Amino acid sequence: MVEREKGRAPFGVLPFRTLGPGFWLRLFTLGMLDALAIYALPFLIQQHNWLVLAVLILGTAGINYVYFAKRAFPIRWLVPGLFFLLIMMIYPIFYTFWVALHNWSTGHILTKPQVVDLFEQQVFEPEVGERFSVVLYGHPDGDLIIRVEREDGSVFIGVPRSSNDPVPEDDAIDLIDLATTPFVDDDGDGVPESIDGRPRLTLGEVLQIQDVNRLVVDIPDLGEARLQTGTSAKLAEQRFVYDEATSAMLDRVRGISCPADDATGNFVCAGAPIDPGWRVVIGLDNFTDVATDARIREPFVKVFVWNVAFAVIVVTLQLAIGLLLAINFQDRRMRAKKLYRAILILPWAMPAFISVIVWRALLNQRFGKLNDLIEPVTNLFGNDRIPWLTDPIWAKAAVILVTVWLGFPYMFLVASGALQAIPEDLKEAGRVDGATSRQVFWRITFPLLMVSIAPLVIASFGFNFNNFINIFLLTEGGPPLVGYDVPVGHTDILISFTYNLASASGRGQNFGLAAAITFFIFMIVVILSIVSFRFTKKLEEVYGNL
Amino acid sequence: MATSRGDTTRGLTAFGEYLTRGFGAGRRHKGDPRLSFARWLRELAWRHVVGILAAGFALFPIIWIISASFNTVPSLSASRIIPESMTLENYRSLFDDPDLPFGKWLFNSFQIAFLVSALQMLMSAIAAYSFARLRWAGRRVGLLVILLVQMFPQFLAFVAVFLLLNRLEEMIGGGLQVPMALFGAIVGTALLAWGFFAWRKAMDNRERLWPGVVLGTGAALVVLAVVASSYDVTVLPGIGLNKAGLVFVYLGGSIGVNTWLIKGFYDSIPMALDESARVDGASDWQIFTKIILPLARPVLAVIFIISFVFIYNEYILASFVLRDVSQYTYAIGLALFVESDVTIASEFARLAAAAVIGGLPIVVVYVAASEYIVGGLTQGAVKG
Repeated sequence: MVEREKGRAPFGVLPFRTLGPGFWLRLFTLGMLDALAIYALPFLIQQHNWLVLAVLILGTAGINYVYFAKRAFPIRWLVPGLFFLLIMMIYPIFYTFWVALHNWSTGHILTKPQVVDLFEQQVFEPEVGERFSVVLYGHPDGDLIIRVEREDGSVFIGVPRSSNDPVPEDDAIDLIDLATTPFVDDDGDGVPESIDGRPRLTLGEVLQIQDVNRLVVDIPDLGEARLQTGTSAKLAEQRFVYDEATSAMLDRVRGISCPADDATGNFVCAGAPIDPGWRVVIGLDNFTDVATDARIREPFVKVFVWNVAFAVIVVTLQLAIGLLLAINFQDRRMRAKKLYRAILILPWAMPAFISVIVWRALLNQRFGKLNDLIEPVTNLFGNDRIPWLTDPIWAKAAVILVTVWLGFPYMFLVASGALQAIPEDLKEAGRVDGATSRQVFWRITFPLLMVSIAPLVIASFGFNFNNFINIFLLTEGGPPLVGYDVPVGHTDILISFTYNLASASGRGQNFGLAAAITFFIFMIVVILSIVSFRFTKKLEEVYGNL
Repeated sequence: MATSRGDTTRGLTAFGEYLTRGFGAGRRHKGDPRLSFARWLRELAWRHVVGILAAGFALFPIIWIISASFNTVPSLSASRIIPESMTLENYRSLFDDPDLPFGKWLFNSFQIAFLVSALQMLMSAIAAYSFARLRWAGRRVGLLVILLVQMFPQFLAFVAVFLLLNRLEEMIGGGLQVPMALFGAIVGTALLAWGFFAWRKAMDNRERLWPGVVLGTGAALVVLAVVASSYDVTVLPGIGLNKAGLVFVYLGGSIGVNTWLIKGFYDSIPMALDESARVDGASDWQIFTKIILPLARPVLAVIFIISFVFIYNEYILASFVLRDVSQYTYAIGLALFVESDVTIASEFARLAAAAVIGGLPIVVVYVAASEYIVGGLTQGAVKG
């Protein structure tokens, strides 16, 4: 008996039937996960990425534990969702804050080692030093090879590259060997007239080559020979040398040492910082700049004020129109209500980005259909077509118009639902007590309605506060506000302003400042959510008392 | 929260019934007297006037794009409500322009939105079971964390997401290299051997779990190693600034909200159902798949639709993450149209056709399910 329970039974006799699909699923998934994790280990060790390595090991170990240990059973259900929630939601929140603590912007994108590498790749051609004589073969439009002869008579023949191209490793350099390559040297001066079927170029032809002084021939163990005229080349030498001990960059062209300023993230040569710099932690500067630096504060305040105004106006209008329509269609004797309803919710059902793009065409000043439609009216006021998207005031009106159009159906649906949910006997009681129908509405229906839809109105405010698509696709924030260091426009709201700060527009990216403003938006969103919670509580109390 | 969640739940349940039974046709109220025309004019006519005005406002751009999309003359200035001559050319030409690959964008949008919504729904449905039916320490804290996290709209973190994916691409963008394949082969074989002996030694199935995992890991490593050595291709899905990266980002986006919503629905399913199944010997997984999940189908359908449309509409993250025009989603692809007012004016018909194609599927679903979506949205984000 004991012997049989020890189970030396061959695979498949006893065990497999009793193993459920859950077992195999777990087995397969964990196996894949562990395999990938193990695969990543050498990469991370190679990159000295200890933090990610630690997270990976702990995370994988944790997941394995959860799926092995019986007491972790409830957690097993959470792991798939939690995995993505942690990486793509919670981690980015903290990372945003981390970025906001840096001067992370164009000119300060890289890390210090990366910047040092970039500088050390820069080369220059020294005034003194060996001059090579150069002969070119091939065709001015391409397919060139170059013969470089050193002063000591040694010869290298290679395919040139542009000095903009990356530097190849020494062992990747492929020189042409005349011992194996057919060439013609009829005059016997040692300089062939053609190599591998490519004729020697005359000086005139050489001058036709585009960017001839950009051409470089790589020579193993020596470096790059850079063409200077069409006939000579010089060996390029490394321009910057980094000294780890003093943390300074030696500029060999100017012969000066450029100490690293770790507060701003630049090497400073003779008082002037040189680009590129690296990103450094600058503390809360990005946050305080918004308050203290006039070049940022002024546009920020303008954007913020308009943002709040935009959200308030839009929500108020949406609610007013939605409520009006809901009341309008309350009468149960009315016909075709379903048809009206189906038509009225179309703006809400259309994907917003499509509607906004279409509106942009319709609001076009010259050809736009809205201007055609209201022409009889505008003719009364001097026959001007309205510059919907280019004038500061009209652009604001246009943004509000489109946003109201997009959102009123939602308010209509919500208000209709809420109106129907108000108990008829309450109104009846009011009427019995002698209230007029107007009093019944303002004293009974409306307050109850507001209580029940207040959380939705607040949520709608929060949504429109960050209604990026409507602003960005309609006006791109424009027309531009001039005179500020940051890209900003009259209709910009905080989120589109932030987007422009972080996207590669003409004035460079500023991830640090963008992240800081993002945090500001986040705080507003949190406050709105808390207020919304309060209303929801109040709602429960009201209905609880009924 | 409880009351509105109840409302949602009721709404979602009704949606389920609607899905299975269909609309009851609207009926005239029997008791109502027939209105005289004068009375109709006095009491109802103005309501129709308001209704027609509002419908006109709602339809204004929609009529224009539909008519323009069939117009033979493509420019904005030439578009009329009733075009002089009609054509389907605008629709056809959308699909053979290599510079603006609409078909590809539409496919990308549907692919990303479908993948994300389906996976998100599944993961949320599973997680919600633990919150609703299992009792464990930290459950309340977990719910609170979800509630807090869902306040933060994911797109606000676009800077972090962009830098994160950029970094990820630098780290694993190169895929698996040949030396790695060698490493994988050695470690994989070792694991296979170890797992095999551990399996043989194990007493029963419970003890075979970890040798099984070791075996599986080893086998997977060996397979990956073989693939990595034979081809110079990326074996890992290259998560970076591309579609795969975007899907990865979106997956984290609304799991919190969805889990919260679905948990609310699970709470309304009577515990007695589980209990009776448990008495019959059902495991948690069986209770989940055989009882809870089928009952939750309506709420899952609504959540799927909401997520789908949300992803379909998303602009900020997509525009930061996607670099290659052939990988664009429909939203950022269509926005290329409005980069200059010249293109808007001269290519309005094609823009209109693109708008109709991209908008129609969503509109149909939204109009059909509007009541239930409003209920679902009450809990999470709002559109409009």
